[in-house]
Amino acid sequence: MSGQEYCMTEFLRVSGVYWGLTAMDLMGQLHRMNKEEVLHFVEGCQHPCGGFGPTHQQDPHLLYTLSAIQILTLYDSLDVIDAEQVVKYIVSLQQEDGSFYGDHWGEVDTRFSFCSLACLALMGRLNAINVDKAVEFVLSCMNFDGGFGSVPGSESHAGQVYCCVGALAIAGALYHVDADQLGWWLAERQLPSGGLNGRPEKLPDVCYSWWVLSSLKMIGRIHWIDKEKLEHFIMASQDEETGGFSDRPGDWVDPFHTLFGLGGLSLLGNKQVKPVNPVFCMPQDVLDRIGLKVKLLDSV
Amino acid sequence: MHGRVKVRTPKEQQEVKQRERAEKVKAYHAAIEKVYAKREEQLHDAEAWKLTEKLLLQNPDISTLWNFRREMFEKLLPNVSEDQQQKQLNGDLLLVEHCLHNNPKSYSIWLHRRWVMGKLVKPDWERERDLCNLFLKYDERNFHCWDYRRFVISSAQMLAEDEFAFTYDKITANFSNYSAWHYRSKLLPVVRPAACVLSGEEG
Repeated sequence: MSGQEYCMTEFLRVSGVYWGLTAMDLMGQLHRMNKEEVLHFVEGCQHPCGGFGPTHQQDPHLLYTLSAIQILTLYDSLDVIDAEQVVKYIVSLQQEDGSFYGDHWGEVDTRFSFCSLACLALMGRLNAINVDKAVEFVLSCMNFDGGFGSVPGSESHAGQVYCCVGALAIAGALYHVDADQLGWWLAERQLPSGGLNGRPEKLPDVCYSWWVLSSLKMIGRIHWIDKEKLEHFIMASQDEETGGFSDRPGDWVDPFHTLFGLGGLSLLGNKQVKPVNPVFCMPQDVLDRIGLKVKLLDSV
Repeated sequence: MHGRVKVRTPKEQQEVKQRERAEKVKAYHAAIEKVYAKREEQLHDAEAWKLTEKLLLQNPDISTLWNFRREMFEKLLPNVSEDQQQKQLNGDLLLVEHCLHNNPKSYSIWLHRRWVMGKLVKPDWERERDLCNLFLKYDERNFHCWDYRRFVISSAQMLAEDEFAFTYDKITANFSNYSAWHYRSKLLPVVRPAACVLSGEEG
């Protein structure tokens, strides 16, 4: 990555750190990263309100708050920050209809419902918010195809499906999902190349190997995908020179697609990668260490 | 000697590119540090507006900079006439449009447009619907644009019937427009509500 590319992505830095560290941990190589440096960086991202920004001097937002909490959980270091203040921050963003603002500027999106529930679950504080209302809002974003969009009325999108299904899973409300209908819509994301797209008529992208596959896993329908063909597509997207993964074969690599490529391979049962938890996109052994269990739908 | 074009070798070209990139990085850091300093001191001067605009045109995903512009508006708007308010806010609508042409799928750009529209005393919702029509011409599957369109229709209380007709036009132009079919599924219950309950009949 060039210096310019690095500085152009400063606005999401802490998420980039989460992608990189999680990819390393999935390969059993987390020890090669500088834990002290990372913790120091993450600490500096927390604001007095409790939320985290993407990098020092940039404003707090739920997206970066989740990435920060995920990093701290990976390193078993939640104690280096003000966890109670994080809970207060998240609670302050929930609206009357159960939705969540991303920050106090008021954008609503089911991504933020996922960020909130996942953060609180990782901290063992899920009951701090109104979970029933949160579920109600997520369900109001369900569409004719069984999928979910960002706000009520929005088109189904695999990224949004992952967030909504993940949120429902955390809330113990997966039974609301029409698993056969959604499972079918998700299975239709697979293209002749073996890769998965995010919605009808779009190009395949390795990151959808995560959003689509983890959703299928959560609703017990992962066997509806042709696993061999998908694995072949993900492997073809690995760059032999640099080792990273790109969105599709032949493109430039990045940490985002590397993590989600590895996550997809893990879900497919590839033994070179540690088991990944489909709800949190973190190594399963980390979730086991903190005793966090989220029930998924059974396969039929 | 005349007429000999200086053709750089690939290595030289690489070095030039690297120098140019390093300059850009230096300029970016200098500009954004200046913005942080002004924000810290609450110095909402012409340079603050100019620098944030310049940085956002290059990288509209830096939400913090849009946040700062909104903060500056919040301080400014109560202290100027309605005409001035309109002028300043319309300036940001233009900035948003410029940013959108290069980045039609950036969350922070569309959010800023919503915020500006919410602040206008006399919002022009027809113009907003026209903007949506334009961006849907560029990319008929841009969900940011479809979502913004629904926000415009709802804010202006425009007719569901007209939107239903719009989806028909989109589908006629391209049968595979899944976004239009999806929108249709949401409009149908609105344009075909259940029959009147008083008559004792069901829809």
